[in-house]
Amino acid sequence: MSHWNTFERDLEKDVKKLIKSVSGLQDENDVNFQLALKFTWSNFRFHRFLDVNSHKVQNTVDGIHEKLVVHSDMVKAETWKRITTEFLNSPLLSDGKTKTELHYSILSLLLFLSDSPSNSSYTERPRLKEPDSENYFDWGKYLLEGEEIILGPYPDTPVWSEDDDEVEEDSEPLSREDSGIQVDRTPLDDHDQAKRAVQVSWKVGEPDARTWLEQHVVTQYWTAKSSRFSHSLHLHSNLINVWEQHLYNIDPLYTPEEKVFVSETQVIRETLWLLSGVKKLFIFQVHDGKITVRNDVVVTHLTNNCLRSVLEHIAAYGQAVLRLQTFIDDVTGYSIECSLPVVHNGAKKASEPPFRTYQAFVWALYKYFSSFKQELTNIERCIIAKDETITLSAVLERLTPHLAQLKVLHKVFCTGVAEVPPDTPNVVRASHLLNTLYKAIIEYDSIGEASEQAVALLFLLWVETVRPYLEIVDEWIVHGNLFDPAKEFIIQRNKDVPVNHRDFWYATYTLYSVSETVENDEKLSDTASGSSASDQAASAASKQHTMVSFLKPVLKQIIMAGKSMQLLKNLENKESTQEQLSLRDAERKSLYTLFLESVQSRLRFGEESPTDIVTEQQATKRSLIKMQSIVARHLELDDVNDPLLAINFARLTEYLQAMRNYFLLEAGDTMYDFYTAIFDKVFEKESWQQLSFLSVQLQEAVGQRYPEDSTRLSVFLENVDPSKKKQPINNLDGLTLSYKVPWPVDIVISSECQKIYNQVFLLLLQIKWAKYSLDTLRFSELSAAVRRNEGGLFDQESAKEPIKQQIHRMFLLRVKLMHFVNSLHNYIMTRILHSTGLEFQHQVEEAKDLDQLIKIHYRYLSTIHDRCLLREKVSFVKDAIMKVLNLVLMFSSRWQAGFGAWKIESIDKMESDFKNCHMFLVTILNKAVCRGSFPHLESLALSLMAGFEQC
Amino acid sequence: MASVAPNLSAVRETMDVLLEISRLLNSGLDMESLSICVRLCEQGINPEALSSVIKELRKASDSLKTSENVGS
Repeated sequence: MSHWNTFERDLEKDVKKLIKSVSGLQDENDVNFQLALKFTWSNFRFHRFLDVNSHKVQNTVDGIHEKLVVHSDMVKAETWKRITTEFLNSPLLSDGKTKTELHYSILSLLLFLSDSPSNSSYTERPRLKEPDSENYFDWGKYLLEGEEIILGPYPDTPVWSEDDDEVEEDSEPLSREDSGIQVDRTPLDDHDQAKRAVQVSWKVGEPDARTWLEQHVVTQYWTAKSSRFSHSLHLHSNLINVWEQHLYNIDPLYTPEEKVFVSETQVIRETLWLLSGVKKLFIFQVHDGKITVRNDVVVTHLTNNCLRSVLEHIAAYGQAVLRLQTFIDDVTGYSIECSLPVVHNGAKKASEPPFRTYQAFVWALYKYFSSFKQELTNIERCIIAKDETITLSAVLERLTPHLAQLKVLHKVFCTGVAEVPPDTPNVVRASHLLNTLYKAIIEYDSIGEASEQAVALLFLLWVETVRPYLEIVDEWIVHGNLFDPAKEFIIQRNKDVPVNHRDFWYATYTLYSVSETVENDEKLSDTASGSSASDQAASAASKQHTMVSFLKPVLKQIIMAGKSMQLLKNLENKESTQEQLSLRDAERKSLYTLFLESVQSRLRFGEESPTDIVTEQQATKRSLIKMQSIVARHLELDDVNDPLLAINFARLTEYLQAMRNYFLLEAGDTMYDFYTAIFDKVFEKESWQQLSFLSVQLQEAVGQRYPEDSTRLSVFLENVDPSKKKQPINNLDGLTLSYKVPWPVDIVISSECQKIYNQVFLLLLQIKWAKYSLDTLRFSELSAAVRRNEGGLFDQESAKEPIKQQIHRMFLLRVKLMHFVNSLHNYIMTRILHSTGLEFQHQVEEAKDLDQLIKIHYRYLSTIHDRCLLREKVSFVKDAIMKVLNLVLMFSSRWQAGFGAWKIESIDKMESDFKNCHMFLVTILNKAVCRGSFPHLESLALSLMAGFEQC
Repeated sequence: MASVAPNLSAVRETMDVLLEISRLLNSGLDMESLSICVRLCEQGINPEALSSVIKELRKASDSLKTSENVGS
């Protein structure tokens, strides 16, 4: 039958079966069978019947129904109707459709095969509906084949309680939430308990809801009643009992203690709670800030000691967490009900200003703890989800990096915060904390790659903690306003010294430096003067002062910038540039952001090369210095922000020039008028020590050429000790000038400077006096005296020398004295004052900041002071010179007195005195010049020597 | 399986009903033949043709049986 298609081949079987059942022929090889088969097939294939028409079928059905009714066979009719409707409405095929064509074709078949149904008796057979047999498959058993599992009281199983030992198979399958875990069936288990099914009735509002919760949610292992839960009796799971048995066997006196059984999951959860900072726990208990482990807690699969060691290890970390948490709470002011004696940072009242460095530190810690708690929560979620088995050691391993970090944090905290005695001022606290963090970073960095995480964490902490400090610096540098309510910055503003004060530059800010050695707690609070700040720093380094060590390289610049800023603030007050300032403020980035950026760029740059200590340290230092340069650039960006320029703006150079004009007599003509008036009066033996006279003279002299200075310059007379033996040269002592210098120029030209100026002024005046007295001597006077005496002394043959000779000697002496005085005068005026002045001016132009200016000025003054032989060491030289000058004065007074006023001896004396002094000076100066110690004296020595040789 | 089971039981029920109908109609089919017929109709055999075949087969087998009875 190869021409048959697949369809027909499938049908073949059915057809044969049909034949077999209808005809009763069983033997397929029977001829009849074959005939029947052929007949069947030919009829199936080649028939001329119409297809089934469902309407026709329905009509026939109804017709039969009618017929039955007509035949008054009501039962049959009703049955017929019913079953036909039922048939048509029930699914025949697996797709569940009703009233399909198949239905109708079957019906039509039956109708065709029907054989007078009305005549046959029929009783309906009752059809039994099969009970709805649930396809219940015991999954539990299926999954648990071959496994032994310990069941502990799980918190999530609502149906479980260890009080009633449940058997799974009998309970209703729909009430189960967890699947599969059941009581392990070890033969020794006591299953004599009745197999009860728990009725799960969710009526929460009932009065015994709490008891229901107590029974069904979680076992209350923390309450007094310790109820055993069943567990496997396998050796590994039952270790505790086995061990106890063993101990009991070994030691006859062994008595088992009261124990509370907990499961490992409970232990894990308590650990997680402990590490997130919860204080009320069962296994770990808090006493006086210390965490202890309950010693009667056991799990079934570990011995007591083993568990304890693990738990104590955990408790140490919990302790760290507790301490850090209390510190955080303390600083943020959050008070908790349980009063634990914590490390108090002094009594914190609400009125105290916020300690920003600690707050920043706490904020960084808090951020770390948030991430840590996030991790803990994730672990706890895993435990709740129960997708995988979680053991305590797995949890600890997962937390290992966090725990290591926690350890580092705790160590830093102990050193940096907890060990600080309670009464230390905030300055020390802040500095100590920052130093600790910085040192820790360097330390951990030196370990290398093993502690990368620790370094990262500490670096984050440090960067965060240093923020208030940098913000203070920022505010100070940019706005000149040192805002530090909690007094934590190392530089404190001296409130007593207002900005306009004379000592502003030195006394406004106090640098607080504390020795970091343990025992010595010497506190040196020094006024940081600009020039001696470097000395302070040098000595500080030797004494191991490590106040805010990371700021050390830039501390001077900070101070400089801060003071200058305040100075400028005051200057700018006169001009209103407030709007510009606020505009500039909005645009500029804060110092802190600049610092962060520079640190970031540096670290990123250093990533290519392996990080070592030096680069790390230097990175931070360099970034700090860069920060300073950024600040300086900020300052330079605006026109009037450089303090130097500001001072220039205040005409510093003009004032310096003025000082030199008057004190150093550079304004020769002006001062000439002034001092000659005085000298004249002295010559006329009138009292010149009248302030009014002096002032008038000064004003007149100055007013002609420098009218603006006439108000500033004034003259004073000091009271000189009258009992001291005075030489005529010292007549002028006590005459001082004073030049009023406005602020801020008086920072540079201070009153001490003016004193030195005055000293030099006095010396110059003396020299001028000598010179003046010599210059004004008239030859004619002597000649006139000679002529006067010519007549009178003719008879005096006892005159030792002829008068002409005397006069000649006087002339000679005068010349010598003049030479001396002139060379001295020239030396001082040109070689010393003029050249030093030029040097000084040059340096002033090159000076970069205020401190430098002050230094230069002072150096200039001390140079002049030295070179004018005013130093103590060379006072003998000065005395010699003074002697000569005195001699000059005496000589001139004698000359002026006239011929008869003196004797020959006095001339001799004067000559010899002068010779001695001269020789002495020349020797000294030669020695000095040959030694090379005072090169500038060379010209003086030469000129004096020239005069000497002629003697 | 669970989703098939109700259908299976439903189909079984339907077959029972069908059997009742066939009994009522006095078609002379038992359960086995009925299910064969259902299957055949499912396959698309025309029921009229099928019924004629069945009638013919019955007639033939009856006559065979009588001839056998007569013959034996």
